Amino acid sequence: MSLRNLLFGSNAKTGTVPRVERFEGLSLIFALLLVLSLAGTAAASLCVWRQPDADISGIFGSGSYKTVFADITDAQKQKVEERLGFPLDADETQFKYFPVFKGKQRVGTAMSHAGKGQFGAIEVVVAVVAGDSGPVIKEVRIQRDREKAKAALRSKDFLGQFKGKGLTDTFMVGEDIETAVKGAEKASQAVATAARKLLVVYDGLGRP
Amino acid sequence: MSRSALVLFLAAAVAVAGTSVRLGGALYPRIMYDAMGSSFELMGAEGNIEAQVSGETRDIVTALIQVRAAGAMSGWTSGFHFGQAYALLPLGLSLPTIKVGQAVIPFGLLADYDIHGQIIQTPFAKTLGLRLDPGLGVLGVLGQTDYRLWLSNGNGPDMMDNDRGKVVTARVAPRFLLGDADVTLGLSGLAGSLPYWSLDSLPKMIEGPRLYVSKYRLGLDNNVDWGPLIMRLEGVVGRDSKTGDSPPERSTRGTVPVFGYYGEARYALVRWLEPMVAYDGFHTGEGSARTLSAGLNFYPPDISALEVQTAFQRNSLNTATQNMEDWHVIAQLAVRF
Repeated sequence: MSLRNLLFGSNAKTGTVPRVERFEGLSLIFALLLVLSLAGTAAASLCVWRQPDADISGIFGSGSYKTVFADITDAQKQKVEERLGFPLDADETQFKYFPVFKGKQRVGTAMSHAGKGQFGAIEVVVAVVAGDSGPVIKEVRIQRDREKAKAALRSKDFLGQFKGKGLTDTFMVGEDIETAVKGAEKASQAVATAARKLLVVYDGLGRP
Repeated sequence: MSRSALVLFLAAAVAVAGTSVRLGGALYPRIMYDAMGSSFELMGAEGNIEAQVSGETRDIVTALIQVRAAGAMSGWTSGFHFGQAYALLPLGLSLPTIKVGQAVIPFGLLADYDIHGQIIQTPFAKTLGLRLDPGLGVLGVLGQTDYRLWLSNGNGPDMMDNDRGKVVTARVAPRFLLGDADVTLGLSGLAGSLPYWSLDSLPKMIEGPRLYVSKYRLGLDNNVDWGPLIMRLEGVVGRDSKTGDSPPERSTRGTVPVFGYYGEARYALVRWLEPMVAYDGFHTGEGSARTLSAGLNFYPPDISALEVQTAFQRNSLNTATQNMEDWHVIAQLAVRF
């Protein structure tokens, strides 16, 4: 078969109408029912991890990762909300974690979350490692945001402040976190809150 | 791979492996008002199944199936928005991911911008003729540059490849921070056999293609996130193989030139309110089809499952036989779960 025929087919140039057929949907419905019967909880609105390769290379040097979904029970939710001091969103019934491995050894965990910025979602990626008294943040990155101080929010000066922070830190702008730049206090706090929320929920779910 | 086969494969994987399955979906009811009066329709209802099969230390396969459950949108145009069914097989960190199934053609803005569920759309229907197509490809990131290569049938979703024609689509897109702007520049190329409509037959697109022709496309796209402002631009140039409708004086060696463009700007006044404007056009030897859109989006605070979109759109079609203009106002609720 020539390349031309492979790309354009034998009748594309002549403009004839190809005979096309639609698949029957019955088997699809049966298959769907089968999957639905085996499926767990309904999905919450989860933030996509957009650049796992770049983030793992940049944060951990190298490695592999896998995806773990964790449902939050009512009891877990109550404890998490008490620790956070604010409620989880109504659709936050499931969380997604990415354990990172070097060889077969787990070296940390990455997670992503859409925080609530001043002008829209701020998508953050948080990498945590095991510390002496619980998980601590290794690095925070921003994937997407609509804030005016985009460069300042992504600067090492701002995001570097989160390194080493753990469950007992307050993550409050003006206390243990400096704003990225004057005027970006709300956005800075949104990043800090998102990082703390991920850390607390991760711990509350048993560090999946 | 058909959706049925993929779902059955997933079901088998769920049964035998460490697999997690997530369910989701969305509803898109809308009210439309135009010169003929008003109407209320459920444009679409979809279910989404995402399954993940993981080994001890890495993901082995991720599969997504999007099923149209109900809705007034039917025919060919329904296939623009519903029917994704694909599997992703990552080969490892910094290596390409293989994608197989029925997925969005990665041409221009379509590669990153999910227009399904949006009132205001890019002109892919006119410039390409389809959005979803069964095929096989690779995707990945090299440094800050996203790359995608996709070989597909060119017949559209849920269709047998009875014409034996294929379509090759490639795109590279570096992404970088320029001051406070997050910029993506995309360069796309496409060649192959694709559905064809003359400009005069665009209103009958819902009936499906009556003709497939060889299309060649080169696209430049640009996405800029500059604070609360998002700008999207796309320019497409290309040639279509000559058909009986083609004006002979415009054809060169059996092809006729075409070009299209799209520009969009949206600005978040606050987190929950976003006005936007867009303008697109598609020009061929017959004439042009253009759309001017102005919209206002409302994102209820703390309820990420809801979104209200409103838009005024004015369409114009200018050919040798038609000079048509129409307008409509649409309000659409998107409920995601």
